[in-house]
Amino acid sequence: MPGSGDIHMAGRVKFILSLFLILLGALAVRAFCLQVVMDDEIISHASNRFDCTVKLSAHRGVILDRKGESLAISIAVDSVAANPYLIKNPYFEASRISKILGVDKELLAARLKSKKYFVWLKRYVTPSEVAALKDLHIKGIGFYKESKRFYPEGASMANVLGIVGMDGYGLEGLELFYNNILRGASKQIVAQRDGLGRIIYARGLSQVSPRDGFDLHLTIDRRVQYIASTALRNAIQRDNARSGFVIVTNPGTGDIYAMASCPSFDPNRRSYKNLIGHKNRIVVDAFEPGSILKPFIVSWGLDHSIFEPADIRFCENGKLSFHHITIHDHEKYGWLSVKDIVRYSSNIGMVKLGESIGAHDLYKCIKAFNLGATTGIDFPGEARGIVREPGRWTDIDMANIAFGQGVAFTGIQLITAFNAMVNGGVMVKPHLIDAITDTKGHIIHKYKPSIIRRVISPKTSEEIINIMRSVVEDGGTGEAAKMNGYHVFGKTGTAQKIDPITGTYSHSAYLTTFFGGLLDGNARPIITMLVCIDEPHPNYYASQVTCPVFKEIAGKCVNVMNVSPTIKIAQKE
Amino acid sequence: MSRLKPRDFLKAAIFFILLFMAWGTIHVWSRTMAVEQGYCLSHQQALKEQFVTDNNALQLEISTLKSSKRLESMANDMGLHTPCPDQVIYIWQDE
Repeated sequence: MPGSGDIHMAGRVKFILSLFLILLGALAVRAFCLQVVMDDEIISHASNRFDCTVKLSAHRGVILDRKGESLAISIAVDSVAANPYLIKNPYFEASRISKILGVDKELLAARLKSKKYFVWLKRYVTPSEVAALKDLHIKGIGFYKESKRFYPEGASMANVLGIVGMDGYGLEGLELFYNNILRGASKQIVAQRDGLGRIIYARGLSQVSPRDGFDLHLTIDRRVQYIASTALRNAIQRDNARSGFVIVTNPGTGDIYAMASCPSFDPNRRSYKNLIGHKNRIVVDAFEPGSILKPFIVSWGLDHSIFEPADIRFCENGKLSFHHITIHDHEKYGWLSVKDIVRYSSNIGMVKLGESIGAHDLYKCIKAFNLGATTGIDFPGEARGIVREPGRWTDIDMANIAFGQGVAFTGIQLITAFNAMVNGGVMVKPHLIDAITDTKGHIIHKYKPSIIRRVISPKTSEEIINIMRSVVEDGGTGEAAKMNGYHVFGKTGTAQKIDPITGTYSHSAYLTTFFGGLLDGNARPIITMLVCIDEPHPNYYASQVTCPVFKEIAGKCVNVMNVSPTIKIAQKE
Repeated sequence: MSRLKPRDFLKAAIFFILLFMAWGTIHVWSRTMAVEQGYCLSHQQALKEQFVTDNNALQLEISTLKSSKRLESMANDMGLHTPCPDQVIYIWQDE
């Protein structure tokens, strides 16, 4: 028979058992609440604590020249930032950091004292600067990877390529025009973060990875570009000129081999002090073409049988009184054939040829060559130029236009029209991009020459080339562009500029131009070039200023582009 | 209808407990593996980024070394210069 002690013991056991059961029940209820009733809230709390959004950045595409050499490439570099609230002694730390980064001490101190949680100390620092800063063990200093664009060719390509801003968007040039293609598409994915802040892709990486930017393959040959930009810069220094540009093209396809502007800028330095150097003058600047307009008018007249190359005009012995103005030639010419009018660049002869053509046909000629209209080149900010309607032309306007004054065109318009005149008469759209490829080299888009329209017949094209060949022969205005072993053709231009104070043509400021080209063995043009130099002093004639530049560039280009001479200089035994 | 014997009940209970333990072990193991693979992926992703950066840096280095300005400067230092057109001698290629 159980004693009273056993009864008490059994009661206690039951009590404790009941207590445990109640506690277990409470735990079960709590677990149910957490797992079933409040599950969304709990998951949300956990997500906030561990989950994070990671941006998988797309790499900006590379820009390459026609031979596959890199012209613009992005790499990740470090930038230094600070949390001013964590910096104990701003002046002392600013002094130490300034010695390493080369940033003004006062500027750094002001940033470190600011009431912000994040300030940049220096963007794009070198690995040695990072290592030196890390050795200082300053609490509150952080390093962040940022993409920076580098341009190995520096200033010689800067006006064409443009630049990319700190945020990775193109700001100028091809970087701007093809920004969407180069930039690619970044992607954000949700990952987890551990207690040390490390990223864990516990849910795997998304199947759809970010699309890296496509690569651009240009028609530009960086060797030709360098030759052109160096020759141009030297000429501008030699002739004390303000600015200038050179464009080298393939007249048959519209490929642009070189496009150099001076002054230029160093795209690797990101300085915005000299914005005038950022212009691509070939595309954005319109100017009065002067005598280089003459071959277009002559070719139009020949094509429409208005005159023949052998037809003659009296050139008034170098002085023509026309209404209330006097038109001069630089020499006293009497009777000149149409060919010689171009060869000697007679203004009076051109006025007389212009009269034969008439105002409306002259306007048609300008429009047929697409002068005064955009060419559609793949470059931002193309200017239209200035051509007034023929109904508003006076007789003096028409006379001026006949020798290239009173109208304004861009360099790209002139070289495109020139190519149409010499390539057999077909206008081809100029372009800078040869192909677009993905990162694995698969071609996404390949450029094909785009023919706009026929302007003149192949026969007229041949005739005008022959006329322009006479320009660079002995006695012609472009004699200085003559090259041994090569058939050269071209036309000089020395245009007076408008004096901004008087509003009349200046007698001291000129724009000197030369466009020309080289012929292959079949008498077809293979390279064409336009050289333009603004306000050279004291020499300003094209024969002294631009023809030597053409000759220098063409002479070097034939070597790097493997253009063999057309005149036989070695005989096979 | 026969009643379930206490022994059979015990067996069934042990079976379910073992099943539950096995399921728990697999669950914990799979989660551990997922996290481990997550770290691995994270490491590989960082490695890939580093390789891309290194590759671009090397490409940049090549382009910088081959830049026309540098090559011309080196050639000039060695006394070389671009030949003029009349200095170039063209010879017949053997057939």
